[in-house]
Amino acid sequence: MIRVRIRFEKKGPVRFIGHLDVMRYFQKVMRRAKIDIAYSEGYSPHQLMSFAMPLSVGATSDAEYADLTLRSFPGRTMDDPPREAPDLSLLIARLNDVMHEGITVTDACVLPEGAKKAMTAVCACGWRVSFRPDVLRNEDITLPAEGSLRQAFLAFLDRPSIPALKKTKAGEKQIDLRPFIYEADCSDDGVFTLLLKAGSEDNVKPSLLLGAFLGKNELPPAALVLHRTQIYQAHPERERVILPLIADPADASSLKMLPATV
Amino acid sequence: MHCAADEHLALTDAQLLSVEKPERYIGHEVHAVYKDAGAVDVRYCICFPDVYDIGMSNLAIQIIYGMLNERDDVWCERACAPWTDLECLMRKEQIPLFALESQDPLREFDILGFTLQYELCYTNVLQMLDLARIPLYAKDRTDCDPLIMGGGPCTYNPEPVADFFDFFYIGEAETGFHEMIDLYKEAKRDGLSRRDFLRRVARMPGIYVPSLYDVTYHEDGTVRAVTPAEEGIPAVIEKELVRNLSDCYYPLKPVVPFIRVAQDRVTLEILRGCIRGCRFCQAGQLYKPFRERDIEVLIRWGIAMLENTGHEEITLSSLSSSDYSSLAELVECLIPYCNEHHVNISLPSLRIDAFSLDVMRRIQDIKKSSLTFAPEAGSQRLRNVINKGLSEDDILRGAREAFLGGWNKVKLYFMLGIPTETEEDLAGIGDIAGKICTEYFDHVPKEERGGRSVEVTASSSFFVPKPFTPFQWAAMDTREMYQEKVRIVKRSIASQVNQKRIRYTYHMSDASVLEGVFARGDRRLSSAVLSAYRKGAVYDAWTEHFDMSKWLSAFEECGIDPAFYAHRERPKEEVFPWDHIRCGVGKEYLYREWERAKRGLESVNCHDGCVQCGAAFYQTGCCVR
Ligand code: SF4
Ligand code: SF4
Repeated sequence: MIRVRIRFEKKGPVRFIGHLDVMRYFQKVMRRAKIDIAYSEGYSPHQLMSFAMPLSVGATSDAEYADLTLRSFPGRTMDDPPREAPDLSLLIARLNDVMHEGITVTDACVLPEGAKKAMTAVCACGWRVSFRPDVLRNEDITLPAEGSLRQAFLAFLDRPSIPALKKTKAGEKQIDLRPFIYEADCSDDGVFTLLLKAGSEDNVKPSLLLGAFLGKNELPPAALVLHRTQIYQAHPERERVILPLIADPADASSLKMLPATV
Repeated sequence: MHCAADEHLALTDAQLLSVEKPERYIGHEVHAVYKDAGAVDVRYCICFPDVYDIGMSNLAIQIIYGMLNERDDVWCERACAPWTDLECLMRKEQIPLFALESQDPLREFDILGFTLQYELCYTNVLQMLDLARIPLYAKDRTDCDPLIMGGGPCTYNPEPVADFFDFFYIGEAETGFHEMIDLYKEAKRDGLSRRDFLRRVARMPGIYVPSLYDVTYHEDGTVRAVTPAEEGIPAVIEKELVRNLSDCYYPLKPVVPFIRVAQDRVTLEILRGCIRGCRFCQAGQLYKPFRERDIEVLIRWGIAMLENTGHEEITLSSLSSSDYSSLAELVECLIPYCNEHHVNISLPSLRIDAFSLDVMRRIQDIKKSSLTFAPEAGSQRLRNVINKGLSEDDILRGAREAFLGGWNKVKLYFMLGIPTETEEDLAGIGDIAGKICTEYFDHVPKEERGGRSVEVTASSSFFVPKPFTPFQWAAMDTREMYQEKVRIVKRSIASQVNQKRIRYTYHMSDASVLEGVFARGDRRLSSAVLSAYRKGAVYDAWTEHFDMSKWLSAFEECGIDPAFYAHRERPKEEVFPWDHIRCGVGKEYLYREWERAKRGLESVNCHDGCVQCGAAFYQTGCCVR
C-alpha cells in the first residue's frame, strides 16, 4: 500500500458541484482511469480516499487536495518494495485523461509513512474574494462608498478584537476572529486576499469575516465570489510556519510565516 | 472542444446558488456532448417533462442523445423541467427555458423532442413550452417556432395531448429517427413551411401528425372515427421496431450525472418485449415481440460501459429478466469482472425460484436485500383473470427456499380494482401474506433466526386500465370503491395470526383516477390539461404537488366528465381514440383475451405457444422461433 496526495483545480461550471458529489465524481474517476486504489474491508467496501476540506458550492479553487491509498502504481505493482520513486506524472496523466475539463489534477506526491491525513493536517486556507453588490443590495446590506472599501477594511482589521457569531452544530457561539486572521488585504478594485485559520477547530470562513466587516452575521453564499488559492498545513519542524499540503519543507519560497500574535 | 473556464451559463451564480441542486442546470457532465452550434444543420433538444434526477435515469434519453450526436450534422442537447424553485425564479426574472449544453433558449432549436413516460407529466410539458415561450397549441405556432415532437409509451394514445404536439414518433427510436432528421434537414434546406414538412413527415412509418387527422364523435360522446384529413396520409400508424437488438445503436458512453440520480448505474438492457401476456400490463403488449440481445454483445457492452462511466453498479434491465435464455451464463461472465472492480450487479424483475435465488445469493448481500414477489392478486381465481402465471405454490415455495437461504424480508405487490374482483379475492391478500409468515416459522428453526424474524411488506396500487391491453374495455373503480377495498385488505391482514410481521402500504387514489382518465382519453382532454395548468397544476406525478381540486375544476370548466373516460365499461364495438395507432397486437386478440379474463381462463405465453396476438407482423423475436 502506498499513500498518495493529489492536488486539483476546480474551475468553470463544475464549481456548482457540491462536496459529496465531488467525492462521488472522484470515485468514478478512479474506476475510469483504472487506478488500483485500495478498498476498505467489511460489508460495503469503499475506496480509501479522503478530501482535505469541503469547498462551498459555487466557489472555485486553485488547490484542492485528496489523499488516496493505492495498491499499485500505474505501470507497476507494489508487491516488491519500490526502489525508485514512482512516476507521479503517469498517475496525473491517467487521471486527467478521464477528468472533466474543469477539474484538473495539477500535482501529486507520495506521503511518508505516518503522515497525517490531509483532513487533519489542514491549518489555514488562502482566499481571493469579492462582493456581489446586487446580492448584498437584495439583502439590504450597504457597502462602504466606492473607493473607500480598502480604507474601511484596513481600519476594521486594526481593531484589537473582531467579535462574530459563529454557527456550529451545537448552536451559536460568540468568537473573536482577530487571532485567526493571518493575512488580509483588499485591492483598490475590491478584491480581498485572505489567509484564514482553517481546520476542525476555529475554522473561519470568508463569509463570516466579511459579514463582520459589514456589521452583519455570516453572509449568504451568493453574496461572495469565492476562490480558494491554497490549503496549508503546519511546518513539520518550524513553529508559526505553514506550507501548502503539497510542498517541500526545504523550499523557502513555498513557506509562509504566521504573525507573531498567533 | 470548448473551454470550461469561459463557459457561459444561462443563470447567474446568484440565481444558481438560490435553488436546490444547481447541478441540475449546468450540464457539463462526463460524456455530455458539446459542438459548435453554427456548424450543424439540425439542433435537436430532448425534453424531459420531469426533474433532471428522473430524466437522466431514462434509458431512451441516453439512446437518442448518443445516437443523434454520432452525426456531425446534428447537435442533440437536453432539457428537463426546472424544479418548482427555479420555475418560480424564471417567471419572476423572465428567464427563458434553456438547454443544458449550450445553455441557449429552447426557442432557438429546430426540434424539441419530448419524452412522454407517464400521463401525469402532461402539465410539465406545458410548463416547459410556456417557460420556453413557445405557443402551447400546435395550431398557434409559426415557422419561427421549433417543431414539437413527442415520443415514449404515452404516444400509443397521445390524443389527450394531441393539440400540443406537431407530431409524434411512435415506437423505438433506433430505426426511424435518422430518417426523420434527414427529412427535416432536407425540408429546412428547401425552405419548406412547417405545414409542408408535417405533410411530408406524416407519410413516414411510425409518424403521427395529429393535425392531419379528423376526429368525429357519436352523440353519446364516443369516437365515431379518426380519419386522415388529406389525401396520402396513412389511415393507420404502425409503431417502429428494432428487428435485431444486437446490431443496433447502444449508448456505450452514457452521460454520467454529477448528482445522484434515480438510476445511478450502468443500465444494460438485455431484452425488449415480454413473452407473458399479463392482462393488466401495457408494457408487455407495447413492446412485443420479445427480442433478446446476444450474450457476447451484452458482456462486451456491459464492461465497456462500466469502464467508460466508472459506475459502481450495473443493472441488467428488462421487463422480465428471468425470461432471458442465457441469464445464468451472462451473470457468470460478469461476476469476475465485477468482483475485481467492486461493481455490484443488480437484477430487478426476476421471478423467485431456486435458480434466481442462487444468482441473487452470489451478487447481493442477503441480510440487506429483500425478495420481491408480484402476485398482483390475492386469489388464484383473480390471478387467472389477469393471466399472471404465478401460483400460490410458486410463491410459497419461492419464499420457503429464500428463508432457508437466509433471507427474511419479503415484499409483495398487489393491485386493487382488477375487473371481476370480489371481497374474497381481496381477503386473499392477507391470507397469502400470513401463509408466507407461516412458511418462515415452520421452516426456519429458532436457533437459525439470529435474532431476526420474518418481515412481510404488502403494497397495493390502484389498477388503471390501459389502451392495448385486454382490460381496455373495463371500467376503472372509483375512488370510493378503492378505499373500501383498502379497508377489506387491512381487515384481512389484521386477522392473520402473524399480523405483527406484516406491514401494509397503499397509494392514494386520486392521481390514479387522473391517470385513468388520460390513459384512455381523447383529444377533447387537451383543453382540460391546459386549464389545469393555468390553475397551477404541475408535477402531478409528485404527491407533494398533486392537487386534484385543480383538476376537478378544470374538468368542470371544460365540460368534461372524468367518469366517462375512467369509470365506464366500453362495448365491444366502440371505436377507441387510439384505434388508428398500431403496436402490433390486434384488437380482436385483445377482445378474445378480455372474454377469457372474464371467464377466468389463462392463456399460454409466447414461450409455450402462440396466441396469434398480431405481433408476428414484425417477423422477429419470439414470433419466428
Ligand atoms: S411479466 Fe407480465 S407484468 Fe411483467 S412485463 Fe411481462 S406482461 Fe407485463
Ligand atoms: S404472435 Fe405469437 S409469438 Fe408473437 S408475440 Fe404474439 S403471441 Fe407471442
